[in-house]
Amino acid sequence: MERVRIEAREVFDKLPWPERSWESWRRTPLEKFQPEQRFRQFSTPHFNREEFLKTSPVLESGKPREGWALEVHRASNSWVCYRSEETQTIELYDWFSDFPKAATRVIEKRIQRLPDRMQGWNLAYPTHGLILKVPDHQRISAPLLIQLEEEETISLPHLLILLGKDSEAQVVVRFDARKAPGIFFNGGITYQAEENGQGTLVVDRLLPSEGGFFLSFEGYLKRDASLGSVEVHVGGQVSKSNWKVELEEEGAKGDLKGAYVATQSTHIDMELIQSHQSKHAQSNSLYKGVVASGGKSVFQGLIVVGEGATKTDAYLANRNLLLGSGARADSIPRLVIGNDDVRCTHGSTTGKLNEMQLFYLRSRGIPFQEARRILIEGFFEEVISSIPRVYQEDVLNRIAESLV
Amino acid sequence: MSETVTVDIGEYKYGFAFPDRSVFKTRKGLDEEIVRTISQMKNEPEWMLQYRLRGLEAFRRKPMPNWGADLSDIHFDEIYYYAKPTEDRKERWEELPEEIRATYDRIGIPEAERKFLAGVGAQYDSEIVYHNIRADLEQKGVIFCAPEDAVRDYPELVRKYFGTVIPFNDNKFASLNTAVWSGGSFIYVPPGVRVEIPLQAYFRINLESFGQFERTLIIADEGSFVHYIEGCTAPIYSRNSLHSAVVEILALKGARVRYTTIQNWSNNVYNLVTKRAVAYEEAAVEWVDGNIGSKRTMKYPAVYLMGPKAHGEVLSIAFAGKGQEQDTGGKIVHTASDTSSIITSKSISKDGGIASYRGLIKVYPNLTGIKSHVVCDALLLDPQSKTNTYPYIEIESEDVSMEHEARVSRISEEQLFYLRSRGLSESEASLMIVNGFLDPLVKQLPLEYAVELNRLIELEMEGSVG
Repeated sequence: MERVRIEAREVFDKLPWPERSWESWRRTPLEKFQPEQRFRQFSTPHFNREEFLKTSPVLESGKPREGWALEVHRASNSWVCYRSEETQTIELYDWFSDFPKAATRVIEKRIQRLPDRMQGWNLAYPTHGLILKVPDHQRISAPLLIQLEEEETISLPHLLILLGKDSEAQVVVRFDARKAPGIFFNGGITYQAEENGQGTLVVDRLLPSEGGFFLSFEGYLKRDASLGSVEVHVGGQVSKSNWKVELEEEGAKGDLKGAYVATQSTHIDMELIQSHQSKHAQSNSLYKGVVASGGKSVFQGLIVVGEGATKTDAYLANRNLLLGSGARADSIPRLVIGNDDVRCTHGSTTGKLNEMQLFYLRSRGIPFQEARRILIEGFFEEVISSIPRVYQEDVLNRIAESLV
Repeated sequence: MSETVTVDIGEYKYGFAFPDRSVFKTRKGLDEEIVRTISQMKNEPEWMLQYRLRGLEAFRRKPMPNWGADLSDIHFDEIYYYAKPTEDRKERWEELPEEIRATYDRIGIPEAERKFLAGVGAQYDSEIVYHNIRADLEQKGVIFCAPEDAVRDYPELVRKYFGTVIPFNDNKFASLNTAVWSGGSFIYVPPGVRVEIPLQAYFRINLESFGQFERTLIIADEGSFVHYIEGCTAPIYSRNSLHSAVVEILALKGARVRYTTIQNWSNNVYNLVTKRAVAYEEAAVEWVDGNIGSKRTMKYPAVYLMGPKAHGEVLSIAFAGKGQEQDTGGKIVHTASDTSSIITSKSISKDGGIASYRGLIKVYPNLTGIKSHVVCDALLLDPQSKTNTYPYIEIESEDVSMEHEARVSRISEEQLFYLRSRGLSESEASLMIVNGFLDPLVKQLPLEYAVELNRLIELEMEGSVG
């Protein structure tokens, strides 16, 4: 662990802080994050950073709630785990107390690819972190929940999810920062699936009305491995995510989705990269969002196909629904194609609620608010259906509440 | 089936050059003295000189774009910014010096004028050497002349509109153009007048390490119509030339302007052009932009829809061959309700060429009834070629229907196999597929300019195949 941290700090020192002139930060209110100032505040001796490092191994404590195979909760600086019989073999490590070798290799790869200090800070100075490893051939049908309750004003967690060969797991990550108004959150998730590892990853965050949320994700997919991911962004003040999937070996498959709702004074910013490095890989993305009056969303998608990545099949789609005037949705779906043996397409649409459908529902006696809710739920259906069933209602309710 | 498909775009047919016989040429490089000399050569009024100097100051201040094509090979100090080929402007081809006449004969301009053009302007290096417009149009009040003549003869029109669509400090290359502009076209179409047959300008660079900076201003008054076509060629030299034009179009209420470019510069020309139009109430502007030549092109024709029911359209065709980078696209800005726009882009990359689409659709807040549709198709002819798509979509109104789609494909083996089994050679089959790829676009073009574009594409593709 110490070696990883030293390496990350060396890389961090050489990187620049993001600037507004960069394409990927041009549309983000950087002043709401002020990462440089926050970092100075974080680095002062007065800030009791060492408090975070008083960690202990993950505590085991009974069974999970119905519908879940395993639950890990973090509150008051410690991890508590609830597991069922079938998940006894799943390995869990606290970032600071126990760092397995397999994790070191993956994190070192991530460190070498860090683009800027915003992402570098998370790995160079993490405040807490968890490693979850699903062993080879282990297939778990019910989903796993990792829930982090953030209490500090500066929070830098990192999660590493490792899927072994022929394994299968669904993981829901829930960052809950509602008790930390004004939070500066800079999270990182790294995912690696070995040969034929089939993973689903849902990331959801609950934010106070003030504060900045930043998340960077990188997924590495080996031969025939897959990742089905769903990013959920509902509300908050300002959030930005970088979601990058590297299809490193033949036959890898990414199915990447997003659902977002930006209402009054919410800024949601998402960057998605589908990076094809090898032959016969497939990636599909679908990001759907509702932007209401006074809200703003930015979606920057990119399909990159390397010179050797022939027989690539990639699709990128962004759909925006605008409610009311004064909503703003930016959509930038890009393609960078380096060989000719590919099938790559993208599509982007922006529009409003279908008035015919609204009229139909209202003529059946359904009040306007309810009719709108039904249509919005229908709009999100394609994305929500990829979330484990036990967690779907939670997300749908929050979407509905945010739009009342 | 082999990986390589041989659709050759063949020899550049306009690569010939004649010796430098300019009657006046500034020294290499750019400073205030050169700007003053150019202005003096043209006997310009003081306000234009001052405007040029503001452009020069902005050019020095503005950074090079940090995105798009690789421009690191442009050396501003190595370029000649002004060269005057003849003493004065002619209205008859016979009066031109023989070499210049031979140039245009080989490009086929005099013949085209007789057949299907209402007016022709021909620019050789910095100056318009030939200009003619049909008498009946002149009688209706249509003005089609060199912009220098417009500054002299119609100062009130020029002062009212010049630099209003693209200000002197818009971007580095527009600033450069403002400082050293020379030649181009000035068109004014009076209210209600329809110029049914196109006006054409032909731009030719003859010198090495030369910069051509033409300036075009088109004003279509209420309810009028005009179609303008431009073509560009240059000789093949080892050192690079720079072409940096500024084109401003104003389509007033109910007017319609179509602007067609067939850019076929030789592959040592940097083509960095700023083109923008404003369309007022019920006006329509269509850019038809064919980019076949040049070393690097960065060009994104724009339409600002300023009044209700205005319509903007960009049709873009790009062909990127060996060593070429075509960074093209279109921009539409909706600032009024009930406006609509269409961008259609088709690009072909071959022999390691890079074709990029870069575009913007922007919708201002509090508008209703906005429709926009963008389609980008890219065809890759070999494994070394590259294509990129960078569409920017910024929507701030609710009542919007915005659709964007893009596709990347190559010549499929099944299609090739089918055609070859019907007895076509591989190159004939490839050519047929390429033509089929462009067909939906070419079909939309009106006959008068399809003639020009088809001829170019066919020529480029033909000579090479088989």
